[in-house]
Amino acid sequence: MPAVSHLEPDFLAAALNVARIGICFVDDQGLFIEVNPAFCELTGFAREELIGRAWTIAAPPEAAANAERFLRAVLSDSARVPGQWKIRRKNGGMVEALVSFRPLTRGDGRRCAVLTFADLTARIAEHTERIRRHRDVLLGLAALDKSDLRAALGQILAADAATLGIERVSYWSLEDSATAIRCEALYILSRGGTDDGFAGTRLHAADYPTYFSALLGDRPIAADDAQRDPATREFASGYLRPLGITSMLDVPVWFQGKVVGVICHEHIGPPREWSGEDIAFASSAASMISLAHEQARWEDAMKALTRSEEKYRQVVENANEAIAVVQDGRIRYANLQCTRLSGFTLEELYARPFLDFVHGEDAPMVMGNYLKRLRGEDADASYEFRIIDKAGLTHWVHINAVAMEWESRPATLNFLTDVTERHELQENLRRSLAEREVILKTAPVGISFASNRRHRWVNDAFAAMLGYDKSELVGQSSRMHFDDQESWETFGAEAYPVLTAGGTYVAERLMKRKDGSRFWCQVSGNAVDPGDLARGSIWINVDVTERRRAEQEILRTLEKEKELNELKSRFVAMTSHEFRTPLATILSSAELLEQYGPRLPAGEQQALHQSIRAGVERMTRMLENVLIIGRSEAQMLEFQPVPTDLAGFCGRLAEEMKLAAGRGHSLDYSFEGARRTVSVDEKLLRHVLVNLISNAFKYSPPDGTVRFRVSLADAEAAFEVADRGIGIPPEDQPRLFETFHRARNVGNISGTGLGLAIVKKSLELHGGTIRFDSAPGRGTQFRVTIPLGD
Amino acid sequence: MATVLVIEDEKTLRDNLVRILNAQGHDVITAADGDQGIRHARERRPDLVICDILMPQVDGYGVLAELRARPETAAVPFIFVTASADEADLARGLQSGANGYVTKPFTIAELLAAVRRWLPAGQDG
Repeated sequence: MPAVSHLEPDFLAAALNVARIGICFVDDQGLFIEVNPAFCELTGFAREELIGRAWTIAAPPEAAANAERFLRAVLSDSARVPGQWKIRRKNGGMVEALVSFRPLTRGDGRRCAVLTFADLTARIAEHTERIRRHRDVLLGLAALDKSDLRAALGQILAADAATLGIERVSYWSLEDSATAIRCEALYILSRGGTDDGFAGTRLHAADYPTYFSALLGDRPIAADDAQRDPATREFASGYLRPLGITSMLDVPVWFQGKVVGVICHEHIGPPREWSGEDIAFASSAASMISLAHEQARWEDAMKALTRSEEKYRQVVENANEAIAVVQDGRIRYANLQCTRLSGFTLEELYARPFLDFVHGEDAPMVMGNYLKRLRGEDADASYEFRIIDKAGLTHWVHINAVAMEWESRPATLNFLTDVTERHELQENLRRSLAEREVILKTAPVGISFASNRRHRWVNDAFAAMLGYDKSELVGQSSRMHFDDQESWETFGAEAYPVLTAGGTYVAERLMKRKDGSRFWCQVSGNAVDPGDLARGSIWINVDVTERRRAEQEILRTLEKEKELNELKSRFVAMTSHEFRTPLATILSSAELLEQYGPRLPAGEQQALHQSIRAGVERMTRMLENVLIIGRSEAQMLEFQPVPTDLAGFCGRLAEEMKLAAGRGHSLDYSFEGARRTVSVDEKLLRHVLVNLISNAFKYSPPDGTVRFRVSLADAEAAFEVADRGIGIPPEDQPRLFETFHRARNVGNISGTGLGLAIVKKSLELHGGTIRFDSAPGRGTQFRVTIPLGD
Repeated sequence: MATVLVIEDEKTLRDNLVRILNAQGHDVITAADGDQGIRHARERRPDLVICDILMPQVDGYGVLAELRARPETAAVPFIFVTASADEADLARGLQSGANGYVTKPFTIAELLAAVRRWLPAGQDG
């Protein structure tokens, strides 16, 4: 304090009297020594009421102890800092005052203190007013419709500028990468509007690194002297100075947990010291922008939601599927397609239980599923059933149903599609497939579908004809039906080129059954797709064993018929020759007797008569032979055994044959065994032996000897006739006993082809057997046995 | 008078042929088979041959072919006597160079007509 000693003491007293702040002097006992009028005004006490009184009278009672401590600190010169002090007025009211003090030493050496009190009431009121004003502005901003972010931003910036009295208030959005900020709006207070030209200005982090790091440090940047403040001085030359900006207050704007922008206050004029209220207000403005962001986003979401709800409503209404909500057994909602599907109006649909629209047969199932679904149990989510439309027609519908809540209560959401047509097609297809399946299964032909030469499917008939179970065939290679690998490969090499060319391969081949037996099979194959054999081929297999047998039968029959024809013509030729020769003898003998008879010697005449008789006998024998065959083939040949002396019978027969033999032939006869009587049919036995012996002569060379041996045993009689004649070719041996059959080597030797047939038939009646051993050119030996029954 | 060779394996018929031809004053040579017939034909040079067709060993056709093949017998008149009445056989017989053809059974008149026709003039009975 400057010395005042050279002033008049009255000056000081005058200064005390006019001073606007309260001044008081307090002694070391805490008693007022002197007070000025302003102090009296401040406390409401008169000067007289204070002088000599304890200074704590002006302190609130609860602060009296503090007041004493405070005074002692002041007197001891240990209290330094001026502070805010609450003064108790005489009327009990309180006045906030800013207190200053200084210890003094009086002339007598005693300590005292001077204290000044500046009334803060006005300032507090002003402060309060400002706060109120800030609050009102903020309330206004809070009530502001911030759905339009840009509009809200303009209002917030305008209110901010006006409230804080700042020339330029702008909002900058922080770009996503935090590498730049972009001016969204700048409000110029003096112009009362935004500077739209400035919007869009961008500042890059690379150019203002310090500012950006301060900005992202999430605390307001309050630069009283912006051109020197470390956080903002980067802007000084290029921005602040040209615009005359002296102070800056920048507050980050937060949204959803991160800095999205910054609200900038740029003061032009003398530098401004930013107060706490300024900062608080600016922060509130920043919050408002956050709210505006939030609301705008909400607004957008709501709009989107509305749009999408509308969209869904459109979708549902116009869906090609019928969509219905069912609750409490009734349709609560149905779209247009429901009315098209059913022919009922919405009102009609809503008026009746939904089950009324379901086909009676399907109603229990549909209801069951509906109830299960409502109870949250497993129910078919997707199935088909029938509905009855307004016209009474049945429609098949496919339903997809889910449980849902409709107006907060359980319901089902149902999607229905009319599948009547598909259903009919499917039904037709199913029926025709079933028919085809039946045809395929029951077809009497074996059918196999194969790919890669393996059975993929076979029908029952195929499995049956091969003696397998179907399961044994599917998946197996067709190799199993072939005798060997080579024949299988050959078959493939023949068949598959035909299939590839789109043709049908047909062949008859032997197939092997499971048991190894073979049968003739007509196999015909077609490719499903000739262009792609991998898609498989269809094989039809027909067992042609019967057919082939029948064919062979026919061939045999034809052959037999041909043979019969040959036999017939041979018979004709035979009869012609065999009858004409004796007839020629008979006729010529008869004519000779007629013309020369009486002139002929008696011996000659007798010989002629004899030759007639012999010729007639010969013809009779032949006729008999033919008759025997005819009778035997008509099963009319009789078997009449009689007791016979076999040795006697055979001896007579041998003599007879010897006499008949011509051309120097001789018969070597022998009999073995005891001479006894056996039961035989002499006539039949005669047929047998005469035929065998005369054949032996006939086919022997002139002068040849025929051996005739008979042996009689207990149970059977054996007859052996052997010659050294032309023999029987092996080809003729199997048919030797057939009627009219004659061996190919008989040449011009006449014969009827009946003899051995008669032998055979006769022996059959006797229960006998005949065997022969013959070689062409070497001769033939026949051996006949006859069982001798008792 | 002529010499006739009769080749016939059937003895009774052969005997009757001999009787018929003898009665006409012809000399008759007989053979019971083809071979014998060929031999007699060469050795005895008959004026006429009457031959059966169906015979063991060499048949009538064989005999005819053999006779026609030899200059000394090539021209001898040759008559077949056969039991076959088949026209095909008849044709074959004539094609093979036979002069006549008599089918069994035949009457004496038929046989002699054939013989007379083919015997050189003045030699028939």
